Amino acid sequence: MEILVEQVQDQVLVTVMKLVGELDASSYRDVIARVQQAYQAGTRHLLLDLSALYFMSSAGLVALHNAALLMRGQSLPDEEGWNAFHAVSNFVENNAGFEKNLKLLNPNPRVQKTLQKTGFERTFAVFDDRKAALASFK
Amino acid sequence: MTINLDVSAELSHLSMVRSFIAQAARGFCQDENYIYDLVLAVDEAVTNIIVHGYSQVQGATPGSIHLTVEPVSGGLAVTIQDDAPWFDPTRHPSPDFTLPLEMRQRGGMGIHLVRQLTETLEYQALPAGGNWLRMVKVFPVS
Repeated sequence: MEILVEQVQDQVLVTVMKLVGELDASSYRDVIARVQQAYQAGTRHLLLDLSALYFMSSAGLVALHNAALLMRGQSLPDEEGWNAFHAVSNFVENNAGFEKNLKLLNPNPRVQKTLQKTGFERTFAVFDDRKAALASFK
Repeated sequence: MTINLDVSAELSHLSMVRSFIAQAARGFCQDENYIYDLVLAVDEAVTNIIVHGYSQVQGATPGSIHLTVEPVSGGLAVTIQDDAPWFDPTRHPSPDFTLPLEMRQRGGMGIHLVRQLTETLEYQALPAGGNWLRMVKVFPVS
């Protein structure tokens, strides 16, 4: 999987991270590492562009979960392997409302279905228009 | 007619597993949504085996996973066999989003997806050790 990063100045500075390829248990840690790197470099508004992501397993949900925690300024759970998957369900169940600093752009219908089936669509605002997505960060 | 793949239990082989399932399924069904759902279900089950099952086994050599795809009445069956310690994913609770928070149990998202994406999920602990998991996904109505 490839991760392309760009900075876009809208009302606020937004980091757009485009995930290209397949996001699975072999690659989800790469996404977390890049988000962590971006946060440490000053990113406070993150738009994940999923338009070129043609496969995402539940490991991708772990990446989204961790990315959301990072963008809230929280530390990552000290959990590896299977425990991280359990932490995700707890996160979705206890989370109310959309994340303010992490939003999703253009998941393909199959990835979107996974987000729906796992409750993540209630956690992350999903946009199909890049301009509107960028403008939504205040 | 069955189609088989033996693969070592490494996360870097998930892509190969997905390609195998997609190619095998296309021989019986051309519906790409059906194929994606089956591929995703198998990916989740195999990830479960690697991350949960074999992670309990000490040793430098990865264990093996044996996959079989076969047509059954109105659909496809995928059987996944491994030599990891016994673990029955069908007894693992799924998160129930309809219950109040205090009544919900934690559960893995992966097995939750497998249950949602397939019609039948069966498990057997093999007497000589290892696990046997079989999922059936019914073809879409055309």
